[in-house]
Amino acid sequence: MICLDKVSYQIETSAGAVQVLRDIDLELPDGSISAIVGPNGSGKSTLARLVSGLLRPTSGSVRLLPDVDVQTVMDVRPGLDVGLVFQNPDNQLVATTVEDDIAFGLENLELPHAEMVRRVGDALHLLGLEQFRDYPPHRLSGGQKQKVAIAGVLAMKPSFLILDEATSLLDPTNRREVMQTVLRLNNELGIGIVMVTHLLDEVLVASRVGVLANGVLAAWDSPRGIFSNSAVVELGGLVLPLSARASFLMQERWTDFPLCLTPEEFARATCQLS
Amino acid sequence: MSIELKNVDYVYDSGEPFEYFALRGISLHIDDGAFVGIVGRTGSGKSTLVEHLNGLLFSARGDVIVDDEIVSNERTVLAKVRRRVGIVFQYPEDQFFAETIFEEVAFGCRNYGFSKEQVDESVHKAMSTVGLDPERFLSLSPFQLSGGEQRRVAIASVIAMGQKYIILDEPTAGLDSGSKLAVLTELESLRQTANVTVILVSHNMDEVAEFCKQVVVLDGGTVAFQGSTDAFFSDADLVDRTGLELPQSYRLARALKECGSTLTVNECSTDRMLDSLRLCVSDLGGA
Repeated sequence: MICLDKVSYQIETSAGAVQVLRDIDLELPDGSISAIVGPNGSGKSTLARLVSGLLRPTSGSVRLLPDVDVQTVMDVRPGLDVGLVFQNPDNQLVATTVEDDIAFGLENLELPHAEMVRRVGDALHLLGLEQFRDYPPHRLSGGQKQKVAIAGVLAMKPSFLILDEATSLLDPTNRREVMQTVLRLNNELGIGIVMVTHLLDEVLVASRVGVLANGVLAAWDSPRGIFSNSAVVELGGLVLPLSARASFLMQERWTDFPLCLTPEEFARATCQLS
Repeated sequence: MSIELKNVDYVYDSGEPFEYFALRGISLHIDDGAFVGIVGRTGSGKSTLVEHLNGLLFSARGDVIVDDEIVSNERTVLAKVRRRVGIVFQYPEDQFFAETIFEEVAFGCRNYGFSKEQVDESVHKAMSTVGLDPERFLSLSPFQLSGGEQRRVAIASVIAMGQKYIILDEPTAGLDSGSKLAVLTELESLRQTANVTVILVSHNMDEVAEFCKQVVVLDGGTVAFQGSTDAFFSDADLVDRTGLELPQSYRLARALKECGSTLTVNECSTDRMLDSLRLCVSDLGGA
């Protein structure tokens, strides 16, 4: 479990200190899927970097709590415990072949050669990239590039994967593919997933959604809980899904009509009206 | 006045082993004052297409015509075309260079010889258009902003030049839902008040359904569809074949039909859908 305890982060600017995040308490259980939403500038990416250990909090702590052995509580090691995937794959691919790119992080771990080869092979296999092993990454599509970036992160065997708007530049097909891959990694390997996102579909697969507003965690709830609270929806810069708006409209006449978040759910609910 | 493409081909690495036809026989027409979506999967030719519209790329065959002017690399023609057609690229914030947001947004205007007063006015107006308070932001450094704010400054720096055609390549990727809606709504009002033609390249079908009356669908460098957005999204097979997805409102209408709900609504954009749902509900109420 990743445990954030009163995490604050501030930066120094020419105009003085700016508090980016304030007193964030958060528990991300192993193997869970969470989403972080919030308006632009609310501190989402900073939070992602703090959780992955790339940034150190100004005050408070980000700790890894193993489920079994609470004695070995430790700080998050960047890249090793928590892998971070960014929005634009072009900014995180460095090598001239897919294979070298995936191996790049591993090369800094001083692993035996055989272990490295095995891990790269596993990562290629997990993401279905075997046929691209010798490809130059820049000749791949956006979705494929993003998968290479994920493979490179996975080769480090992190227990959590943080996706900082990792699908926002992909077309619908590629986006679906990357999301399916991520959900499979969660399902099969038990890797915990944290998605920083603005996309409704991604919010809906999370079991818990954190809403950041002005550097404060304004809510931590299920997607349904979030969308039933209009104050939180507004604070988080969210827009109600069409199905939710339609549900509210139905509730004007059928007061017990459920809050539906997808078109399919809404259609089923209308069929059950007497 | 309009933008027209007649049988346009574009080839990358022509004559080389990696020769690649990015566009093949593209013919299309974009009306003055329209809000047009350009959609299609990654690699379908969207960015290559829009780079033809202001002479960043020149067709290998066929003509690109902007307001009766055939786009060519002749200097006077190019200057005229570029004065009319502005492009907001993907990741426009990567091109930031100035020390303050004012300088950043004013840069293009100054290049076009705006007077000091005109620069001032255009910069303020453009900042308000993208929903950033000029008083609060203009003296800040663009590098101090969040990703979403940077995107809006970049959009403002193109809008400020007051071009007649504005092309935006994935302008809302990375913006929160509220800002997304705000930026697109402001573009729509710019279209109505200043008769600006807005050409939106997007992967977000919900925003295309909401804002674009017309849509150009590219697939493998050819035009797979052009016409009304409603007509395109009503053809679920074509949507699937071109690697795209249905907007929420169309999904809702289909889901209702498929499960045999007593509520039936036509496939259309969100607001009209909610209206027709409201009607439907009040009909049922009367029964």
